[in-house]
Formats: sequence, structure tokens, C-alpha cells
Amino acid sequence: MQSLETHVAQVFASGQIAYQHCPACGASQALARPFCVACLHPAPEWRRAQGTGRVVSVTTMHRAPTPEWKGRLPYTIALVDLSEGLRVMALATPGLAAGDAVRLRPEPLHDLPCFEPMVTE
Amino acid sequence: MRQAFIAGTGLTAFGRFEGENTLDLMSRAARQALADAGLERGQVDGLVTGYSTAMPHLMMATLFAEHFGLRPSYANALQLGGATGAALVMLAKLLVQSGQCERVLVVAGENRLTNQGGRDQAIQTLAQVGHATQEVPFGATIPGYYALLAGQYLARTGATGADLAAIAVHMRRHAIETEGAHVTAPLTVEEALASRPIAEPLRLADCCPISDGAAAFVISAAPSEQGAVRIAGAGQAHRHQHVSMATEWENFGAADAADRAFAEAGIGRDAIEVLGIYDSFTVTLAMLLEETGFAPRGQAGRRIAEGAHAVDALPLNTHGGLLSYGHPGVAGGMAHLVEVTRQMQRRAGARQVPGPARAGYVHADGGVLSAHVGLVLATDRG
Repeated sequence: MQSLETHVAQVFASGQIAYQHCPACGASQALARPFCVACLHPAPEWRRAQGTGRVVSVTTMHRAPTPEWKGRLPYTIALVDLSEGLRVMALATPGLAAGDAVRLRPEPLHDLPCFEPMVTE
Repeated sequence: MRQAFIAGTGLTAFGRFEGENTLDLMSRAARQALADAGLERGQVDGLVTGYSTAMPHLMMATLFAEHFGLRPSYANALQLGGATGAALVMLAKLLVQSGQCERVLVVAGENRLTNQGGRDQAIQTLAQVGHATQEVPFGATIPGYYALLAGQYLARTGATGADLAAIAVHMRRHAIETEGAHVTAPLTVEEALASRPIAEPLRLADCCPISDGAAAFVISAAPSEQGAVRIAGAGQAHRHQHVSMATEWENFGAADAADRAFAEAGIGRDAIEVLGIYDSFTVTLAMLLEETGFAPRGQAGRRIAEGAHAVDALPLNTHGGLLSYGHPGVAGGMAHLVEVTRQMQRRAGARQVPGPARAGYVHADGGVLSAHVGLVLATDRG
């Protein structure tokens, strides 16, 4: 599990989101495990989310869990349904609402992935 | 199969109690419950306890047994977040019904507020119910996880912040009338809506306080002489741990747990005359009341404002709930059952509801609407 957690954190630090895909049954999972939760196949493969999705819910935090986060108040956390069909938690830019189309910012925020509004040109 | 009754109840005041630790508070509630049941310590043959974030221990049940002078033939501690208390009562019911035990002491409590580190430490500790590598790193907290539920709830149902505020006001109104309540300053909907944001859309008035306190029960094959309240049905459901995995909006598990409890009890929701529903946040209560079938979707707050849960209608959390009586962890969820039991025994004093209160329903959740336990209580009064 530790190497899985390290991989998740390293991809987060690049501003992206890793998920796992099962070569046996084709299921995908957002929470990393050393097996596929759908079929128990022991070697799910890593994939990178393309980074687009839709906001399920968003909260702007005014009370932080740690001194480190206290210095970043207020910050915004979102639940996003990725285009790949998985739900993930990540940071978000202010002003988003449920239903908004979003994409990952090119650069991480606080070494974590951060969603911003999808800009239609 | 034989019946299991709530033979004794104990509930301390909730609030700030400097100098009392977990075992002190648990002992106080245990003494009350035993006195209420008319029992001596030596008559207890089963002990089930919760956990304490202020006193983490591998063996809370036997730690307490030694401290309090008990030598039970069955003991264990159980951890299910906010649903722990209701799950302990369900376990005690099973122990009595199976014949394993005659009289089970259920007890939990902690000094969550005055513990070293206080509120800040409690908030950091509780945030860990989130996923360690895929939620906690984003600076989320328990209010944050529930705010993400609240955002969905408001967007999907069209309910408003004022509807949620009505829930906070309801609890405060009851707490003002309840001796031992933690937060008793009068509160209006306008004041609730003007309180400072914690995790938007949740504001301070939408959030329960962090308290010190304890609660206890004796669950027995013999009813209380002060009014027989039987645990007629109990049910659980566990469908996810983390909010990001709770993707089925229509079913967080609350309805499944309630259905199982009502099926065992053999009565319908229409027979229920008093409610005790977990209310760690206003949105918690709204979502639980709706999913368990006691309010239409999106209408819990509005119906409370309209009087659907006034004392002369279907009374709800008449002690003030977690939102205002207070929340010291496991004991917080037990206070609802203490209050419903006393209402059903017609021992609630000035708060006694006018109706017959012959049957009650208590629901608790742990985590982020993760673990659900429902209890159906019956008096068998005609």
C-alpha cells in the first residue's frame, strides 16, 4: 500500500490525478488499492485522469484542520465527477458551483491538483 | 426469543468540565444509569463501551471495568464513529436476547473539549475519518465533508440555507428548556444565517459544538420499573466510508438501516410518536429525516419551520440534539436515546410531550453518513 500512496501523492504534486484501471474486468477505481475492488484482480494499472469533469459539490473552508492549512484560508474543496466516470476530491478555484464543467489547472496549488472552470473559447 | 429493555439511563450535562477525564465522565453516567435501574455494580454481567479520542486505548471496556469496579463475564469496546452508541445498544440487545447476558452496562464519554489541544486538536483528529491519502491532504475537515453533502443537498432539492437554519433554531429552542445543555443562547433564523461561515454553505449555527460529557444505559431482560421501554427492532447499513465514495444520492444507507429496524419491530413508521435523529450538522438531520422516511425529500427544514416536529406533532430531539445539547463523541449520539426513552416513560419533566409517545425511532450515523444504526423503541402501552 505504501508505494501506492506514494504514487498517488507524487501525481497529486504534479497537479494531476492518478486512478487505477483493471486489465482483467475493465473497471476503474479512484481510491488506490493493491487489487481491483470489482474483481479482486491483483494488478490494476495506473492511469492519469485527462483532468476534465463536472462539479458535484463545492465548499469554501473557513476553519482549517492544521496550522499549515490555516495559513491558506479561505480555500475551496470540490467533489468532481471525472470524464472517466470516477468521483474525486481536489482543490478548486473560488466561485464554482454544482454542475459546472471543470478542468485541472496546468499548475498545482499547494502541490495538489486544483480544478478551474472549463473555458469555452 | 426474549425481549431486551432499556432498564436504566444516565446522561451528564454536556459542556466544558475542566479537570474531568474520560473515565471520570463515564463513571458519572454509569452511576446514574445503575441508580436509575436500581442495580448494584455486581449485578452487571456485560459491559460494552465506546471509544474516547481524548483517551485512546486498546482496551477501553476492561480499562473502564477495572476503574469502575466491574467484573463482567462479557466485555468489549466498539468503534463506529457517531453511530457507536446506537450500535452498542444493538449489541447489548443481542447479548440479552441470546441469553449471553442478563444486564449489560453501555457507557461512553469523554472530555473532548477540555482535552489537551482542545477544539483544534479535536477538529484535526476527527478530520481523519476522511481518506488518508485522497481526501485528508486537501485540508478537509468533518464540517468540510458535510458541507460537500450540504452543497449537493441544496443543489438537488432546492432547499435553502433558511430551511437548514430552521433546524438549528428548533434544536436551540429545545436546549433552552433542557438542564445540562451546552449551548442555550436564544437563536433566530436570521441570526443563524448571519453566523460566521465554517465550511460553506455550513455556518457556525449549522454545526454542533464540541463538548465534554457522557451517557450510559442498562440493557436488561427485565423492564425498568419506571416504564417499560423495549428495543423492538434494530438495523444497520454500511455502504461507504468516504464522502467521495457516496455516489448513490438516493441511498446513503439510512433507509436500509431503518427498514431493517422496522421490519424486526413489526410496526410501521406511522406508529412512531417521538423521534431522536442524529444532528451533527443541520444537513445531517435533514438528510437522515428524509432518507429514513419521516420527511419528503428536500422538505425537512421547511416542515420543521411549519411545526411538523413541534412537541404536539411528531416531537424530534426534544433535549436539543447534538446541535445544542452538545456533542462529546459517542455519548452525543446516546443522548437522543436517553431523551426518547424518558419521553416514552413520561419522565421528561417540563419537556414531557403531550402525546402518548408509545413508540420511538432513534437513528445515528457515523463518519460522513457512512455507518447507520436505527433503533425502534416500543412501550407496548395501548
